[in-house]
Amino acid sequence: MMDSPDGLVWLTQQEYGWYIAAYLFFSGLAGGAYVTGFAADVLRVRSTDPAVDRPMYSITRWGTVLALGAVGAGMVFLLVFHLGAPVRALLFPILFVNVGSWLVIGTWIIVLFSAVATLQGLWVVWHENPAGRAAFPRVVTSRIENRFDVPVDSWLARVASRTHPGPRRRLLCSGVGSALALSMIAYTGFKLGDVSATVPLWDGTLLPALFLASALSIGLAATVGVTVLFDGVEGTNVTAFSVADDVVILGEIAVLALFLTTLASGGPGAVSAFGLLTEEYGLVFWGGVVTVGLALPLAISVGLIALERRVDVHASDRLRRLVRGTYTLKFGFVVLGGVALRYLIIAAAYNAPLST
Amino acid sequence: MSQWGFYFDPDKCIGCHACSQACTVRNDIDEGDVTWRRVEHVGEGTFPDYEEISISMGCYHCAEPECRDVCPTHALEKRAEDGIVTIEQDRCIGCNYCSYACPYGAIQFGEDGLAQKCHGCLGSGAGDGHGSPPREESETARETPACVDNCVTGALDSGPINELLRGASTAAAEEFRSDDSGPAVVLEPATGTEGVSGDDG
Repeated sequence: MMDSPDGLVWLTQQEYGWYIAAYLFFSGLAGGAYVTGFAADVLRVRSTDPAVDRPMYSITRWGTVLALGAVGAGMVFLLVFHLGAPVRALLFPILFVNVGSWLVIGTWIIVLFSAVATLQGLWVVWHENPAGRAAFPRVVTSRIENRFDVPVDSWLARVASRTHPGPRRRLLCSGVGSALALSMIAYTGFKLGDVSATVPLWDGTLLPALFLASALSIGLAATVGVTVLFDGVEGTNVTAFSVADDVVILGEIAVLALFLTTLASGGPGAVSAFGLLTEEYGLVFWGGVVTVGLALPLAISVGLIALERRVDVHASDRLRRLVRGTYTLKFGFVVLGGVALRYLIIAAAYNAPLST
Repeated sequence: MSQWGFYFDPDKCIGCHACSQACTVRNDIDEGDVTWRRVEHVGEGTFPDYEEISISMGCYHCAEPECRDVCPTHALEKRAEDGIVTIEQDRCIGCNYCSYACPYGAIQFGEDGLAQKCHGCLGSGAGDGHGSPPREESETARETPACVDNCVTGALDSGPINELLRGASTAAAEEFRSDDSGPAVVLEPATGTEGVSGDDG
């Protein structure tokens, strides 16, 4: 380890702070939530059951609204807390000339994603008169319009109506947005992985895969979680979404195991990173990432599926409330695990030692 | 281009920190943890078979600098004139990406949040040296960097790499030539001799 006299030069820890962990978390959440919303959109269009229409559209709205909120929060952490010259960074179309840098590639992916997600947000919230609590931004603009006599709601509705390309083209546009969402998640991993020669924890191959699995998992959990919390479980296909999340979590466990094995069998820097993760930050890793983020959600899922097989959970209000609360708890745990993972990826990022 | 670089002999270094102090004074660095040049004390083994060497470290002005490659704005430049890597602070957005790309921890961030590092005393402060003439023609550059000037044992030297190689041991020269994309530092192998040996090896 780095404190023992091993003939290696261990450099002091570098500059990224908790706000970069927050940025990574929110950009992952945004991407995962958007993809979840798109999946619900596709399921809605393909379904012939009219009962599915409203709850699926509600998930799409929540996914889009969450994605926009999360990408905005991520930008706040990046611009306000992290960058030394944030105003200069806003001149990116002129200043970002190194097109081979992952930071430049990522910037353009975020900008394009934000543009598509904003259009989708406009269409799914301000076009027609959407029902459900996911349309709360509409409630806000309506109140502003009524209270302050500023026609913001009418204006947004008019813009949404004039720009709406029709259901099929909107879905196609959302598909492009999903590809950008996946790229946005992956870019964060590739950006860190590009300097893995210096920071062994940021494995150039496995970190993007880990971020992808984790982001899809937390995005799905957050989107379906808020849908269940605010709109109830009826018609939301919550069980199917929960099982889908479980499959992603199992994939994440496989990638995480490979990630740890690679670290443990690597050079001194990688072995040190393994030690930092599993020992020095062991409580956050084993408690936060593994137990809260991965194991407990799977255990809760197994319990819920067993319960749903044995009894009709919609038979009574009490059972329905219990199932709703338990699903919310499960999805909440997944999201907390995602926070812990991003925190560790930054906190345990030490330089590879230099030999003398 | 004649690459300008550093020479370091750990056997001669007594770990007195005169180099890092001189760098701090010359470049008016007074911002807490920011040190463009620092001395790392590296131990190995356990008592009584314990050895420790001191290594003076800073930016090594790599032939293919990773910091330059990841910078989104090309604020970091590998000068064609002398191979010194400089920072144009007016283009820096303070993203810290370069500091993670550098294996030597050379790039640091002051209270203004912008990247700063050694520029071989092309000037005398953060961001200096960018756009200045070649080192030997520059009016603002010191003849030799402050760290080299203040090294009391001759462990640290600087100049055109070819000249440094001529004065180096065969082992150090071969090691340098084995990596044509790496740091512009001719590093003598540590033999474990304590303190100043006076032997160039």
